[in-house]
Order: sequence, then C-alpha cells, then structure tokens
Amino acid sequence: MRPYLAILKDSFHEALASRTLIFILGLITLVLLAVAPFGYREQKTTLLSGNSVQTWPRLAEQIRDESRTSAPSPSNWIMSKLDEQLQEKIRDFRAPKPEDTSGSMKMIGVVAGLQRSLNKLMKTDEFYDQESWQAVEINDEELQELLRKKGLNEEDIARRNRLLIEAAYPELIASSPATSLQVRYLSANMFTPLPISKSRFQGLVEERVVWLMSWFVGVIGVGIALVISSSIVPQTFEPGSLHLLLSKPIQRWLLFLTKFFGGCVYTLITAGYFAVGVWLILGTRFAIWNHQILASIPLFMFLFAINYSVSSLAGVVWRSPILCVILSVAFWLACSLLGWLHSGIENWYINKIMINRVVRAGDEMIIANEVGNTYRWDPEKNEWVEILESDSPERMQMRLAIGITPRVPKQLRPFGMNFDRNRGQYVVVERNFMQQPVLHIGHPDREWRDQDGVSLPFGTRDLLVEPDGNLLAFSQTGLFRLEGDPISDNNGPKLFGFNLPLLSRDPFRQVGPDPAVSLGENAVASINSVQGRLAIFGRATVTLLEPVTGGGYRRLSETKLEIEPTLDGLIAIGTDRLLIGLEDGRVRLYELPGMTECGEWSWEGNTPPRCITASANGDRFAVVLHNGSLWYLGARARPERPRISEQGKIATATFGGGDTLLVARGSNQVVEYQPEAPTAGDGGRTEFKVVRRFSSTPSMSENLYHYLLSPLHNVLPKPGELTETLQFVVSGKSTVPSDAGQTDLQTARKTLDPWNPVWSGALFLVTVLGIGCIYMQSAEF
Amino acid sequence: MNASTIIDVSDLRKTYRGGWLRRRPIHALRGLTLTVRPGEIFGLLGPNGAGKTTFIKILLGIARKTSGDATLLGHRVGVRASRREIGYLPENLRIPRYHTARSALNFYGQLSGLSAREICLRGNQLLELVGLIERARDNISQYSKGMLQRLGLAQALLHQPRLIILDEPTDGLDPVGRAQVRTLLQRLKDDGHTVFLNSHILQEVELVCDRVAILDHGELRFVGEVDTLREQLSGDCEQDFELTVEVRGEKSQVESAMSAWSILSWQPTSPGQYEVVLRFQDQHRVDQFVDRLRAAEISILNLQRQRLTLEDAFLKLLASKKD
Repeated sequence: MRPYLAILKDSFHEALASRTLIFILGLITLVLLAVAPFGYREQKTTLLSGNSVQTWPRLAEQIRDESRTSAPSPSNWIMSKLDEQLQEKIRDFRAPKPEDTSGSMKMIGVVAGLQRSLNKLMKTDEFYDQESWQAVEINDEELQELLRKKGLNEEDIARRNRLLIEAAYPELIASSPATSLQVRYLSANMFTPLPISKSRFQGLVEERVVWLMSWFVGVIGVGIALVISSSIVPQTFEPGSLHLLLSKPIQRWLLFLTKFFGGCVYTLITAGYFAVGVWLILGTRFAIWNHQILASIPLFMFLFAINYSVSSLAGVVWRSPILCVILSVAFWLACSLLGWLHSGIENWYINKIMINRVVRAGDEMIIANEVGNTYRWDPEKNEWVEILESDSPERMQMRLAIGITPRVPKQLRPFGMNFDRNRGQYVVVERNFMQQPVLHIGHPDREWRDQDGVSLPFGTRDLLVEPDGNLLAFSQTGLFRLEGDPISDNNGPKLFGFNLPLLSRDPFRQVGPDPAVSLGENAVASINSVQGRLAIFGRATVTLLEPVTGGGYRRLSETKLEIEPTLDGLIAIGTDRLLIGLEDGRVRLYELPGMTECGEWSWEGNTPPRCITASANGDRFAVVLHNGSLWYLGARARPERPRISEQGKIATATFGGGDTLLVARGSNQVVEYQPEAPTAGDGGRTEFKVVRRFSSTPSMSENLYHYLLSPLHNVLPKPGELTETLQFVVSGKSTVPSDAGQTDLQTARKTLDPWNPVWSGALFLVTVLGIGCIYMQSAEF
Repeated sequence: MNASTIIDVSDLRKTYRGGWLRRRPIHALRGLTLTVRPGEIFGLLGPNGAGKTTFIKILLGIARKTSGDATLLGHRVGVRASRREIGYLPENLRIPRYHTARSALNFYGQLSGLSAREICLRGNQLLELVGLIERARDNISQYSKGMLQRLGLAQALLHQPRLIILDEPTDGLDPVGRAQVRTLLQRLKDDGHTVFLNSHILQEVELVCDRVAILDHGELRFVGEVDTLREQLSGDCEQDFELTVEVRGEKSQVESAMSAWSILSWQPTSPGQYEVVLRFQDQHRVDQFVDRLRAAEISILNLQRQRLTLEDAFLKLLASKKD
C-alpha cells in the first residue's frame, strides 16, 4: 500500500502548495466571519408585524367604526391616543374602488401609519385603560396574570398590550405565542421578531444552513473544485510524468484510483473547513450542536466525486484539461436539468393533480385535487368527469394563480369539500384574492356546474358535516351553522373587482362555543358523525365540544397535551376514541371522554401524517402518511400497515358510508376496500379485500412522467439531490415542507428520498471508475 | 533465458494499428533480437521512428509486445517484479513543481516501495553524487534543466536497481551538463550497474557505451562493440580511403609531386607549408605516394589516415542498407 499512500499524500502536498486553495480558504474564512455575528435572543411577543393582522384595512375600518360612538371601547381609546393627523386619515378612510390607484396608495399609507403608531403605543403603559377594555372578554391566563401583576417592566407592559389588542380584535389579530425570537447581527436587531419557538427556530436555521451549504459548497465550491482539479489526471498522463510512474512497481488501475481520490483532496479540505466553521458558528451562536452538519463533508465529497469521475475518465482517455472541464460541467448540467425537470413536473403538475379529498355520499363518488379541480365518477362512462366547471373570471384568475405557483399555497388551497346531504349538492370552500372564504356549490340539477355561494365567516378553517347533514363552518371566532340559502346574490361591494369580505355572517348562525376557542394558526377540527361531538386541536390543546339542545355546542373538556405548543397536527374523532397525528410524526390515541392516552406510535422514520380519518361509526381510524403509506387502527387499537398494492403511493383515504375504506392514489384512482376482521391464522392482521375500483386512463403527460421520466431519474445519478440526503441527515425528517412558508400538514410535503441519490450516485461512480480502471489497464501509453 | 543476461529479447515484434476507419498496421519493431549483459553500458541508436522508444516502453511494460519473447532479469517484461529492478529516467522528465529534490526523492522512493529510512539514507548519498545536496531543499521550479536531469538520475538510482534505463539523458543539456552525466555514467559502470542508454547523440554513445545496437525502421542493423562496427565498416571501405598530409616545400614541386594522385583539398597552413587531403584506392599507392614526395625532397610534416567515427559508421550503415 505504500506507493498508493504516497500518491494520496502527494495529492495533499499538491493541494496545500496550491495558491488557488489558499485563495478559496480565504474566501470561506471571509464568509464565515461575515456569518458568525448572527445570533438570536428570545423575547416576549409584543409588536405587531404585517402578518399579525389578517387584514390591516379591516382593522382600520373597525377602529374607525367603533370610535364613532361615545361608549368606552378599545377602538375609542386607541383612536384617542393616535396623533391627530392619523386620526383624521382613519376617519376619512374608505376602501378604494378597483380603478382608484391613488385610493389604494392612500390605504397603504394609512395602514403603515396605523401599524407604526400602534407599535409605539403598545410599548407604553397608557395603552391599557381598564374602562375601555371592560367589555372585552379576557380568557387568556397569561393576560389575566399580567393584568393582576403590579410593577410591570417594559417588556411585560408591551406583552400585556399585545394580548389586550388580540383580545379586543380576535377576528383580525391571531393570538400570538408567549415568546418570539429576535434575530440579531452583532448588537443590532434584524427583521421583525419571529413568533416561533426556540426549537422551531433552530430547525429553521438548520434548514437554511443546509440550503446555504448546498449552494455555497454543493454548487459554487464543487464547481470551482472541478475546474481546479480537472488538470490533475491529464497532467499525470503527460509522457514525462506517466512513463516514470508506470515504470514503478505499481498497479495501473490503482494508480488511476489513487490519483482520482487524490483529486478529491481539494474538496475535502474546502468542504471540511467550511462545514467545521458552520458547525462551530451554529453551536456557539445558536446553541445548535448538531454533529450531523459534519456529515456534509463526506456528502459533498461524494457529490464532487461523482462529477470528478467524469472528468477523470475524460482525462485518462483524452488527456485534455479543457475537455475534462467541459465534459464534467456538461454532465453536471445534464443531471441538474433532469432533476429540475423531474421536480418541476412533480411540483407543478403531479402533486397538484393528486387527489386530496374523496367524498362519498350515497351513490355519488367525488374527488378533488389540490388545485380544486373536482371530478365525479360517472358509472355509465366508467370514468371521472370534471364538475364544478366555471366561466367566472375571478375563479379562472384564481386557478391561474394556483397554476403558476410551484406549489399550492395554503392560502389559496380549496378546503371543506363535502356533500351537503340535506340539499343534495357538493360544496367546497375557495378563497378569493382578498382571502375571503366563499362557498362553491355543484348541484346535479345544474349539471354540476359551479355556482357561487355565500361568503363564509371570516377566518373559516374548515367545513364540517353534522350527523343530521347540516354544514358547520369552523372558524377562529366560533362555529357557524349554515341555516339559510347558501346561494349568493353576488351583489355585494367589490374591491379591485372582487367581493369584499363582509362582517355579516348570514346565512350562517353562530352556534358556540362560549367563550370561543382560542385557536392557533393551524387549528384543525373533526366531528363525529354519530354523536356529533366535535374535537378541536390547536396550540397543544384538545378541546372537546358536544351538541346541546337548541342546536348549540358547549365545551366538554379542554386538555393540554404535553407537547411543544407550536406543533401542528391532525385530528379525527371517533365514538369513544380520538386520534391525533402530530407534525413530528407521533400519532396518539385517546379514550373519550376522559382523554386518557391509550397509545402512541411513530411510523416510517417519524413521517408526519397527511390525512387522518375516522369511520362513520367511529371505531376505526386510518392514517395516511406524507410518504404515501397507509396505517389502519381497527377496533382493537393495534396499528397495522395494510398489505394493499397502493402502499407508498397513497394520496388520501377516507371511510365510505358503510364499513369500507376508500383509498386514493395519484390523480385518478380510488379503490374501495372492505377491511375484514383479523383471523388467528394470519397473525391477527386485517385483510383488505377490493370491493371496487374507480379508475380512468391517466393522461399522456402522467404516463410520460411515471413510465419514462421517473425511472430515468431513479437510475441516473442525481448529484444535485444529495442536498436532500444532507437535509435528512441533519434534520432526521423523512419529509419536509415543500416550501419554507408551508406550515400546515395537509399540503403535500416533499418526501425525502435520501438514499436514492446515494445509491444511484454510487452505482454511477463505480461504473465510471470501473471503465477508467479497465481503460488504464488495457491502454498503451 | 540466459542467466548472464540482463535483457534478453528474441524476435520481438510490435505492430500498432493506426487510423480510425482503415486501421492500417504500423510495424514499430520487426523481429528484434538482442541481449544486454550485466555491468555493461549498452547504447540503443537509431533515427527518429526507428522503434527505440517503443522498445523501451515494452521493456517497462508501458506498451505490450505483439509477438516474440522479452525477459528482463529473468522476468517477463512489464511485470511488477521486473519493474522493481529497473531505474528509469524518461525523456522530457516532468517532476511536479511543488516538490523539492528531497520531497521528490521521497515520493518516487515510496513508489518504488522504499521505507522512509531507506529513502533518507540513500537520498543523501545520491544527492551528493549528483551534486544537488546543497540545493536539496530548494523548490525544483528554481532548478535548471541540468539539475532536473541529475535529480531524475538520482530518483532512478534510489532503489538500487540492477538495470538503469536512460532515455536521452543529455537531451537539452549544455556541454558541462553532458560531461557531468558522462562522468556519472562512468561511475555507475565502475560500480557494476548495467545501463541501457537510448540517445541520438552519437559522440556520447561512442564515449561511454561498451556495446551498441542500431535500429532502423524497427529492424536491428547492428549489435556489438563500437570498434567492431567501425572495423566492420572500415573493412567495407578498404578500397577507398582518405589521407591528410602536411608537407613543406616549393609550391611548384609539391604540385608536381602530387599531380598523379587524386587531391580532394589543398590548403596552405603557413608560408611554404601545405595541408592536402587525397583519396587512395589501397596502401600500395600510399607507399608510392610517400616515395614520390621523398624523391622530390619534399618534407612530410604529418601524415594521417582518416579514422571512421561512430557517426560515420552509423550513417554509412544506414546508407548502405538503403542502397
């Protein structure tokens, strides 16, 4: 081994003697020094950011309207504390008409002034006036405590004021977590404080660091290293050098391999230096001592090695450094192009057309995808037929907006797909450009064409179906039952051509609970279709509501779970059990009504759930994970992974009207399964028998994606996707949000396939190096 | 294989295939047979394209023979066991410029399987031998061509090989550098090393080589001692040779005395003295010529028959085969 170790040592010698390497190390040092002063400080959530208020114009309007009366109110008090000029502006404030550009500019000025003044005012003790807040319902324990406490410091005063304004305008200002994180650079505050927990912030920092490293080392660093190292192999093959090496008692193929690995030394030194620097900064400045960051060193080495193998093979065959650079860069671009094409089609097309809701009502089978395209199974044609088609320009523009975004943002995604049994029609809620949820209706009498319905109460999160078939809007201000005509007259005021969100809730009637449940950003609810019990999960709390005589709902219990308050989750309520799936991959089962925990599981690398559903009679649950796996909890509460052919590709699942389970796959396939009680002979496993398949021919584009692009992508090396491997190694999560802004669980997440790029890359590397070795052994120089 | 040979080659042939579409054969070696004995300096001569480099490549295992037998120290050529016994200095030696003489020796020594201690011990001796000990820690980018060649020689000798193959070792060197290399070769010979020298500088080969082989278009034209080659070619040319004579006398007398012979050149060297080159067919005519000069009372200051150099012999040999 001595000769080969000598070649490797010589590569280090060469690298360390290189001025280019010293230049790159200097550059990395500058980047690290520039990043090192970043840090953060945990502080109480106080100030209002742009996102803290649902719509600032509405807040201005509410302050204006409520301050017109002389009765003491927070709006009156706040108005009195604003400077006269701003007061004047707010009094004159009117929502501008679509064509009124100057009015829109004026609105922006008023909103900015209001935000600035409120934040200034909220830092002072005079923001709170007991008389003005007397009529405001104060349920928050933290606020109650702060109001009781004497001698508050500046931060406590600001926090108290923040909670006061949240209590005063619950429809407009979402309740905030107790603490926020302030990003700092040296001693200066950067950006507005982030209303997230420390652990989520750390996770976010890790994600950003992985992204930064992927670009800085994975793209720029590897690119430079390829150019620098491209001459190493061809130089070795210059006659005066090669003949001397070949005259030594060494194996030719090992000479090639050691020269190849020697060429990786540049990357080892630069990636190692950068990764260790980042690891130290994360540890010392952000208290993130994640040793997995160091795994980036071998990963980036591997990434470089894949590209460099092409360069080395070209170097052996043609002995031209220029050709080495050209071929390796061309290879890199080709692989990246294939990767981008694959993920682009997946995000822009495949994920968007994936079924995300199956609705079964009687004989009707309806599916909807992420974009909102809805299809009904036509038993005569034996295929899916699109319904809810519309000529409305507003809706078409909305679809266009969804179509051009890489992923469907939560704010634009349709929700609440259900079958209104009482009226025999399909309903779905879509938001317009003003974020107002609007009901859309498809009735068989109108050939299932889209019909605009009424606007839903502001802040509506979901549309549920009560046992008697009534529709229930679940919003951040309470529950609202649809009691009147859901068809909109569509004559309301408009802004920029869109319906203005109205404070009026007709034909919805509020049905409790009293007081309203304080919801987090991604609160979810589920209703039991037998007893009508309703469960809400948000901010680590499960609130159980039950129907009371008179049609309202009252609190049955409120249980604080011992989990991180910012964890999102999904919920499904059965008759006597309740299932919660958390963002961190844990799935918990509780017995009702006492909320006694009776099981907790994590499946398939802590993959979070995408959909949780309970059967109609409430004794069984199904969980679909973000990686496409289905888990089933039968009556015996022993989870099992059903042996069905769709496993790993399941988009969503729901229980049918009877005992059947409807499993959706891809864009056009629903299979109805009949779970059969486990038999002793089969290890106690539930058998799933296919009852019926609802499937139509996939489009040509889907076939091309599934049968050409995907297999090609699987087999060919994907050096660019090693970032996913790093992401997986650093975070330990097998799925990640599709984009940084995505926080809810229902949106399709990106399933990390961390080892596929490693295997395909390794296969490619071995093949190319093998060809290089064979060439080296057989060639005459 | 003969135990007393270092290189033993018999009917060695090498054919390259050239061209992309019609792969026409190029015969680089055509049935080469020769042996190199231990302790001798063996020179390989030949014009460009004669097959010298191909032959060395086959000895080193860099190229493969098409047919024939070739052994080196009893091993098949090209195998690692035979390469272990070879020290090689390539033509246009390239040593990476980040090395010093010492680090380069360390690198090439390890490639030859030497330990750090062995390299240290031998390295100092060799640097001393090639006159680089004073500059051993200097970066080789500061070295002259001659210093690089000497360093190349040092690396070739580092693992004490039984055979040293030198490919154009004095190429590009100035006269001083060449003299240094010649001295080194002589020392190697004195130490009992076998040296296989490929050079197109014939004077050098003539000065240091015990035996030479002349290749032309892949064929062996001659193998043997330089004197044998000379004699052989001189014998071939017995009927026609040149003689230089320096005489003193009256110009008219000298011209008259020499008028019967074939004068090639005539040159006065000082007043009354002349150097004349003549061509003779045989020794008898030379004797008659001397008698004639003495009879005419012309003083013979110097008389020299022209000796055939290796270069003359080489050119004659190649020319004769062409004829």
